[in-house]
Amino acid sequence: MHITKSEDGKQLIIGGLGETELEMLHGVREAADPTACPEAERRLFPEPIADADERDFDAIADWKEFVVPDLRSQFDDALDQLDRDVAHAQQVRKLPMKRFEIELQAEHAELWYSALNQARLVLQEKYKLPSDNTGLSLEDLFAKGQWRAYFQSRFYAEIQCWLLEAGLTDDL
Amino acid sequence: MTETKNKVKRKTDTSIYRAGQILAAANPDTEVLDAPATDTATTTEEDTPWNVLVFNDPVNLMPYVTMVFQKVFGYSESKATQMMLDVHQKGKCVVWSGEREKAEFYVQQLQGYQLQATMKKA
Repeated sequence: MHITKSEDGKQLIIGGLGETELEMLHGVREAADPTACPEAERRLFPEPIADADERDFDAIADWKEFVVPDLRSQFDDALDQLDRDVAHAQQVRKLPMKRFEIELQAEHAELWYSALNQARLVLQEKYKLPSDNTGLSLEDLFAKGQWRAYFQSRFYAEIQCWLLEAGLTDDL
Repeated sequence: MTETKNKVKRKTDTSIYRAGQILAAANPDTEVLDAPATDTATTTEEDTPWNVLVFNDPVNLMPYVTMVFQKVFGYSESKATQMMLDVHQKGKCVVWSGEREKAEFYVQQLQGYQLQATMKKA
């Protein structure tokens, strides 16, 4: 798998995707859903004020009324864009080794990054994934039922690294 | 980049806490003189500076966190990198301090980038 940039810099092409990888990209929205996981919900929408006292209660209520829905909508927009781009994946090689390619506008890179990040944050909270590879064993991942979420999260992180290198920081 | 705007529409304007306004509201006939800027005898809610804190998490990639600090605060790459390393190594970092309204704006921006950000009275 690889990400390349078009000559004019306006498109990013994610190429060499296998069926499993494409399936994981189709699964970003589901992975990013914090429903039924309060820890994930709290991680995506943290309290705005630490050590709040009663003078802050109105501000926190306002935050939940106005800011959180705005953030939720912003996050949903990112997931929508990723879904639209993934839905247009092109099959570029047939059996026995199917390969797919996704073309996205470079300006969508930030939305993709956000969508993948949401998925990783939720997976992290839902499955309590190991935070680094130190002492990581496949047996542990299987035993704890974490292996699928772990590889999914690692795959999304790889794409995020490529997105960062491919142009997310271009406008700095 | 999709520009986000601060949409905090406060029901309770913190400016109500200004001592002069509270006094005026209590007694409309009283003439209120603005206190000199150097008078620090009374610390009002509005005067209290707020810190914007970012906490470490195992998900956000280090170059991304640096990029977010540059985008949100306009920090140089070296300053943003140092703050990112503080977050990573110490578990949290005060990334900005100042008035409450701006702190709220920055927390919203940082949470929009999915950093674990909050604000706290300094």
